[in-house]
Order: sequence, then structure tokens, then C-alpha cells
Amino acid sequence: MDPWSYLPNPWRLAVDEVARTRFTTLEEIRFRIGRPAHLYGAGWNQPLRHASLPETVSSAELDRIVGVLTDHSVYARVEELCQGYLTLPGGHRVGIAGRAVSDGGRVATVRQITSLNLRVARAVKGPGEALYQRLTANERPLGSYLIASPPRGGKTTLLRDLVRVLGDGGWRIVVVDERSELAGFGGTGHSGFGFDLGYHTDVLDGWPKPEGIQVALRTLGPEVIAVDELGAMQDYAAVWQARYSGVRVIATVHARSLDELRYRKDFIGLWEAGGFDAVVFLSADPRPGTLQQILWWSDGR
Amino acid sequence: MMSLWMKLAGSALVVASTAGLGRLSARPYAERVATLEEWLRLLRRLATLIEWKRMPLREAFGEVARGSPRVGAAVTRFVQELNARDEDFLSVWRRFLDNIPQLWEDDRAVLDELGRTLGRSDVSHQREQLQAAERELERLIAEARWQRQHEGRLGPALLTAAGIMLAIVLL
Repeated sequence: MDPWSYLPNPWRLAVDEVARTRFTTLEEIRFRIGRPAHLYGAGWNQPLRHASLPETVSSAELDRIVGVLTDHSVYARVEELCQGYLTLPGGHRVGIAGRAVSDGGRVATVRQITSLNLRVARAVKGPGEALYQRLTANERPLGSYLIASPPRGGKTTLLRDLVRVLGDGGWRIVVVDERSELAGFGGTGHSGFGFDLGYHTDVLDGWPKPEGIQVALRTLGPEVIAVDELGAMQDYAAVWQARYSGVRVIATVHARSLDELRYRKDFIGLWEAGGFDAVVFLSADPRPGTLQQILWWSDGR
Repeated sequence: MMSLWMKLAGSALVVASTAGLGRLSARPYAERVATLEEWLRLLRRLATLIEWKRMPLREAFGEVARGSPRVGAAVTRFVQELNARDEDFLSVWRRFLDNIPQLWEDDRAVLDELGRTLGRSDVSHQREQLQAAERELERLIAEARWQRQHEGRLGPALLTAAGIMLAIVLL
């Protein structure tokens, strides 16, 4: 299901009636208080207009939308809200902007929500196979890789497709899907997941990356572990642990270049010790997922 | 002889119908107690599903509907309306309470207050809200039992006595 199907009416109805040509390329909808809802697609954007819609989005309307998107059960989604997002069944992401309420230096919740951003998650088949061919060319064995790009650069989509290729190719993979974006937990089809991740793939949905990696190592006997968006020190420590255990890791990270990554101590320690065999840089130009460069550890650090 | 039998039969019918009417007049008291007791059980099960499983309200209510013969049908309708994803929670909740006629005004007020907070905060606050509602329901149940015991017996007794008197007069 598209993320728009989870919106309450009249928004759902209004999006359904967007011209077919645009609907198929629709990527996101943004709701901002005091402005009309706005649609963004591949190379186009326009305000969402419909006879049944209010001229602009009100605070009460945003609250109603969030209520419906959280299934009227904030307690079940507090961890996500504190990190500024919600994941809908099928792996679609809803970004949330508002005022953080802190408790002991930690964000306890978000109130006065001022904007929402619903983004569709789509499976793209093909780039994973192409990347796999490049990574294993010249009889190079499958290794550990870091896929890097700026936000919206297509790294999650590429990782998902690469996992599918490996999973269907007989590799035993465990996906640690902290934000339910890779597998799209709760989606329709593919054994309860929104996306096909391959035949030999197991998914740890909703597990924080460090705990998920440890559980995978202890109980699921993977040959490859896949995780999205490394960030915290504990994430890198968990990758270390997996590498020490002889398990390959394929991960993604926000970064445009190796220079940007060099500022991150956790990454540098891992990279210099050979924790990753290559870093794959993607670009959003001319379109998300464009392969820019593969930097091999063996070619120099 | 025939007319005596007719009179006896008529009197028996009068007594039976007034006794029946008496029982009918006591029914709301008994039904209120049973419904509130079921609500209390429902809230306790709901608290477990929320606290332990972090189950969203739609699923949690779907689960508790199965073991609730009195309010189960209304709960199922409530879940269906939540599934439609069109209205705010409180509107759907109030319609749900409207579908349970056995609830009295005081009972509705307590449950309406719960509906204002249900699902809107983290688990610890949900626990507090549910516990507060449970305490209120326990108070209402005690009150309802007292009413069933006293007022609920008065009506049937008076009506049955009136029926007997009428029968004597008829005879």
C-alpha cells in the first residue's frame, strides 16, 4: 500500500484524485501548518488542491493526521516519535517536525507538531545485481561494504536490492531493520514484509542496531548482516564485533565523500583496520542511486 | 364452578405478569452491574496488552472483544470504525459508548474521560490513566451493586404485591 492510503479523509481522497501521470511518480507529501499540503514528484512539485480540502493545514488537522498515522496509539510509537519519524506498514517513512520535550537530557516526546513529510518507499530491482557484479568482478570474494550517499541518494533502496540478490543467491543474511524501512514490516506480501529481501534472508524488525547485530550473531548464524544508517558509536562497535566474528557486514551511512567520513573517528578506526572492503559512494544526481565511486580498502586508505 | 376456575386463572395471570414486570424493572440495575464488571475486566486486559505488548488500540480492542459477551459487539464495531481511519479517536470512542445502552450517565462520564487520554501518551501515563479509570469503575460497581440490592428489589416486590392484591380483589 502507498503511504497516502494511511492518511485520513479528505486527504486520502484528494491524493487519489491527483492526475494519474503525476500520481505514479509521486514521491512525497509535505504538510506544514498555515500552508497548503504540497506534493513532490520526480522533477515536479505542486500544491495539493481539492474541493474537500481546507485552504491551509491547521494544527488540529496535523494532530488528527498524526493520530491516525500512529493508530491512535502514541505509546506504541514513542521511540520513533522521539527520533522524529514514524514508519508506516510497508516501510514508508513519515518525518515529523515539532517541539521536542526533553526529560533528563533525552527527548521524551514531540508536541506542537508543525510539519509532516510522508515519503513513499519503493522497491527498485536491478541496481543491486549490477553492484554485486561490480563488487565481485575478477573473482573477488564477497566482502563487507559501506554504501554512502547524502540523504535521498538512494542508499536504502540499493541496500534492499543488494540484500535481495544475495538472499536469492543462497547467502544467509540477517537484516537488522531498526526503523522497519528495509523490509517494510507489516506490508502486504512477502511473508508479512513490504519488500522482497530474498529467499535466505531473516529480518530482525525494530531491533536497535547494536542489540540486533548481537542477537543475529548469537542465534541466527548469518553469513552477512545488513544494516541501514550507521551513526552512533555503538553501531560501529557492533559492526566491529560482527567482523571479529567472521561475518560480513553491508551497511549504509550518510556521507558525500571519504573526506566527510574521515571526520568520524568511529568510522576511521573501522576503515583503517579493514572493517570494510570497500566504500560505495552514490549520488542523487542525475537520479538517486547513481553509482559515483567504489573506493577499495586494498587500494589505499 | 367454571367461573371460579376462570377467576383463579385470571388471578394467576395477573400475579405472573406483575411479577414479570417487577423483574423487568429490576433488570437495568442487574445489567449495569454486569456491564461495569465486564468493563473492568476489559480495562485490565487492555492494560496488559498496552503495557506488555505495546499493542496499538485497534488490535488490543480487537483482542479484548473476544472475551466480552456484553460489550463485544460494540467493541468490534468500534474497531471497524477505527480501521476506517477517518475520524479522530474521541468521536469514534463517544459513538462506541453510545452503543452500550446499559451504561448510566455516571459510567459514561468516567469512560468518556478515559477516551480523552487513551492512546495519547507513553506507556507509564497510559498505565496511570487506566488505573484511575479502574478505580472509578470499582467505585461505580460498588454503587451499582448497592442499588441493585436495594432499589432493584423494591420495584419487583411492590409490583408483585400489587399483583397479589389485584388478584385478591378479583377473587
